[in-house]
Amino acid sequence: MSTAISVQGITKRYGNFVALNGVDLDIEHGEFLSLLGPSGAGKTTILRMIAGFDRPDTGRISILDRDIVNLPPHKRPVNTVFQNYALFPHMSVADNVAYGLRQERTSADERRARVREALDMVEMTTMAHRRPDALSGGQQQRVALARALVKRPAILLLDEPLGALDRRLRAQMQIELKALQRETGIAFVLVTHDQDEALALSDRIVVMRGGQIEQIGTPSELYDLPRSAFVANFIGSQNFLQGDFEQSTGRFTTPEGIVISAACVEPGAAGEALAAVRPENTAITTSRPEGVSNAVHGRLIQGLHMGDSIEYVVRPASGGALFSRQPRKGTPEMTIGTDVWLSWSPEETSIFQPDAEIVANLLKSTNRG
Amino acid sequence: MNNDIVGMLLKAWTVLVIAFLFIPIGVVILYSFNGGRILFIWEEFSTFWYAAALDNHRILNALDVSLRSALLNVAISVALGTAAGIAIARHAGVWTKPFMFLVGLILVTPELVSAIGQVIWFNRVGLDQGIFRLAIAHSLFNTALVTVIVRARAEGISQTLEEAAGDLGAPPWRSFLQVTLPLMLPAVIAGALLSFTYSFDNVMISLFVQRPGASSLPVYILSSFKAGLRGDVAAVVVMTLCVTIVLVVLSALLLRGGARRVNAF
Repeated sequence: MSTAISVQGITKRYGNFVALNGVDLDIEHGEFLSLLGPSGAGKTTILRMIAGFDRPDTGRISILDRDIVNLPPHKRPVNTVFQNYALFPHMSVADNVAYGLRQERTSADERRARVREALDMVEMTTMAHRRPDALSGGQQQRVALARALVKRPAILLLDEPLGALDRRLRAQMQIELKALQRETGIAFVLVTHDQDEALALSDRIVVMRGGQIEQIGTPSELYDLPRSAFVANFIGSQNFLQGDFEQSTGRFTTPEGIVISAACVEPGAAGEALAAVRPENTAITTSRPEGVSNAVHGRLIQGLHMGDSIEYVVRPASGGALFSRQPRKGTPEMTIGTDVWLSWSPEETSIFQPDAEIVANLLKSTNRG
Repeated sequence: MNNDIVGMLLKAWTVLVIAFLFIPIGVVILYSFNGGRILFIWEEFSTFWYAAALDNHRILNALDVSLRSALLNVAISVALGTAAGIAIARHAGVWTKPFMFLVGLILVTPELVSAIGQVIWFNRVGLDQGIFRLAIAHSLFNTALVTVIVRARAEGISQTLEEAAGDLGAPPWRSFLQVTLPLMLPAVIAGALLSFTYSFDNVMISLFVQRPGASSLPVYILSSFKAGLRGDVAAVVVMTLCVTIVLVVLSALLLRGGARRVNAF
């Protein structure tokens, strides 16, 4: 695979607000890449710069090895699926899809064939003569996809395209989106704040925060080997314990004296630190299990049914709450109010440098407890 | 009380209101067919005054002046007002607020003040072409009017649509012609129709800025009122009413036709 888009050292300020701060990113041909992060992280700003609607203050953007920072949107070989679809309300579905081809002065025969092909691809051929306002949200979404894909762009940009759809339809469109991307072989760049969506669809995910890239990796890399507490917390769910990490011995000790051993340590972690374990990687027992190094004692205060699993909430003596997710089949149900042990292995444990936001949340939940 | 009775009363009330609004027009239409010498005194049914009106070169001349100045006024106010409305909606800046203040000021300035001011100005710059004087004088108010209407519509059209057109390969001028303008057409046409109507029945400004020999129709009717109204005035009024109705129907059809565009298949 080779590089389709290369973004180098992009910075953008709006007044005092730094939207992007030195972002470097390479997007490969034919990959499905997601830009994931909370709102204000700069995901949409990157997308708008690639499309040409916003200009970076500094930095380079090249598409197919050509610098495009000074190129207006209509001269760039990328197409966008907008958040609210932005279908032309005064044109039929077919005219909407044909619009981009008309700009290229494609011959009438070819245009007709390609419009039909694009509408077939999204299964909207029967709706060709309808107006956008006579379509449902999901149908408008499909037309917006067809309108962008009919141009056969080098890269397709998608700005939170499924945000306005209900949950069931969103799941269905995710499957279709992934299939379309495989079928066309076009690189898709998807902006989303929905981690499940990013995990389900992407070849690679770019996790962003405050105008910077936190980590780039495949869904399993990000899930299994998050490089910071922020990424660990943002992707999937996570139990955090505050404590002290001694770099030389590799020992993490909580203020209550519980010693945690970890296989994974964020470079630079020393002194005040966070130990993290995912709820699904913990076991819950009524007595302290033998031969497991990491264990916390507490009272079982809640069991939440999640459909296929139960999420147990354990309150340690120090306060706060730890979560343990157990499959419903094959696990005896626990009695609420009993004393239990939450345990996990060092392989499932990571040590991170403290993250202000996470520490603040921990303190809040501890005080409440 | 029974719901049926309330409904009946409401319907009757509606009919009364509509009658109140439209009876004057009906009376003019009726009396335009009055064959008598004096308009208010009904004598007999006749189309005499229609023939007389079409034969009266002073009426025809006034109608011609009115139509030409009204159309020229529409051209000026639609061109300037559309540009201004879009500029305010799309490229707001420090100038926007003072400009909107100016537009508002034009809309509330008493016609008398505006008329006298314009007469002085026209004479100063030496503009003595009757039709141009009328058209420019009327277009001042109408430019402000079109600006307000177009701005409201342009703000209702998402800018993302223009971005989408650009994204699909349309240079800015083409995305304006193919996306922005068609979506704004109803506002532009509405502005044009209102401008036409304003100009066509304006008396106050026309009275001041007109030149001898280039009277507009309302001014002519006003002057003939002093001499005693005759049936030819009613006949002209009815004929212009017909023209207006035709214009409105035409623009409505145009708008509907514009919506039903040729498809790609």
